[in-house]
Amino acid sequence: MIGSKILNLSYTLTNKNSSTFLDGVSANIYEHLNTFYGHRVLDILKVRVDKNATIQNATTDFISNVGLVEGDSGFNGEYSFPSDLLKPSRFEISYDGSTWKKCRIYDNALNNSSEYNADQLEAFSQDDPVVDFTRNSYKVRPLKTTAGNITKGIYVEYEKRQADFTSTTAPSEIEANMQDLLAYDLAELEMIMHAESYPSNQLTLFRAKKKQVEDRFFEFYKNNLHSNKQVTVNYPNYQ
Amino acid sequence: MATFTKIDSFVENLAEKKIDLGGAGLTIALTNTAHTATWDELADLTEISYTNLSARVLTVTTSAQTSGTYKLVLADLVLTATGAVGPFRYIYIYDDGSTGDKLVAYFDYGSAVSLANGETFTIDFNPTTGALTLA
Repeated sequence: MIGSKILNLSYTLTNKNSSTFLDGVSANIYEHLNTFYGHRVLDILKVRVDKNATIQNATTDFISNVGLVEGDSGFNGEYSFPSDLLKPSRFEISYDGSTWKKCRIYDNALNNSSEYNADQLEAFSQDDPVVDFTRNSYKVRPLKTTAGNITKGIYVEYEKRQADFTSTTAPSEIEANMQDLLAYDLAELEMIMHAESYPSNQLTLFRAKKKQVEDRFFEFYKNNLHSNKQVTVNYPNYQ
Repeated sequence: MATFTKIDSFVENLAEKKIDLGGAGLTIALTNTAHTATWDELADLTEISYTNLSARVLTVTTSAQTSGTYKLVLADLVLTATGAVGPFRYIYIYDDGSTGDKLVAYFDYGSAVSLANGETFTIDFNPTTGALTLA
């Protein structure tokens, strides 16, 4: 459902046209639509809890720590997240360019040794690499302390931020059958902006219909991906 | 791998014969609320609804000592959803045969998980090292 079709549905729901709907400025209306689009993508992540919604992957070179100084990408094992990342889900790393290992997610608050000194960081094992998330970046352990970078040595899977859509393109991160929900979101904004124009019975009918469309959206995303989970319990020895 | 964390009161309850690890009462409870150190019994948890979930009773494979070291071996448990279940994040083991359903231990899945109809959640215990040992 391309942007202009979504807009047409909003006009229908509110009995308005392009000049009377919201402020009548197309650019502003599409900005609102894309804001709602972003919110709905976050809703998908929320209802799926731990399942992939808009999965993307990226690779980056794993950079040798030799000769790096503070501020360099890869210094102290730190790399920037992809710019469209919403939520990281999986990291893999290769120290030899031929085999990759999944990184365990790690909390550096648990490390009573050093998170800075490269010699002490060698306590981490290449057989059990870890990744630690900070606000806009991630750190991998252990470092690559030998010379030579590994091309595409870091592989990241993540939930990505959606790209804006326009009058001629569709909000592709939402299933096509559910894209009409954005028209309801936009129509609701119009009803707030021009509340005096809408009789209460129309508002009541609109809310009921929007709830039906929204419930369908949530139900679809809660259940459309089958997933079996496993938790492996470690072994404690109480002595 | 989820860390098996014993409940603080477990050691006292075990010493005072309030918990029977070798009995048939070890059962799983699921909650989405993080653990509080004072929790002792099942009633302390805010459990999820189990309406759409298969049986949560654990099977004890062995409960015995060798050379003074006790080992509890539990069989893996596959929970199967017949409708929406959860979300939950924390998995508790409690003794359903004890007074007040005493808590034994819990582990953290790491993030909230929901199951849809037909999905499974497997709790994988190590059959060699056991679920826990006491010496």
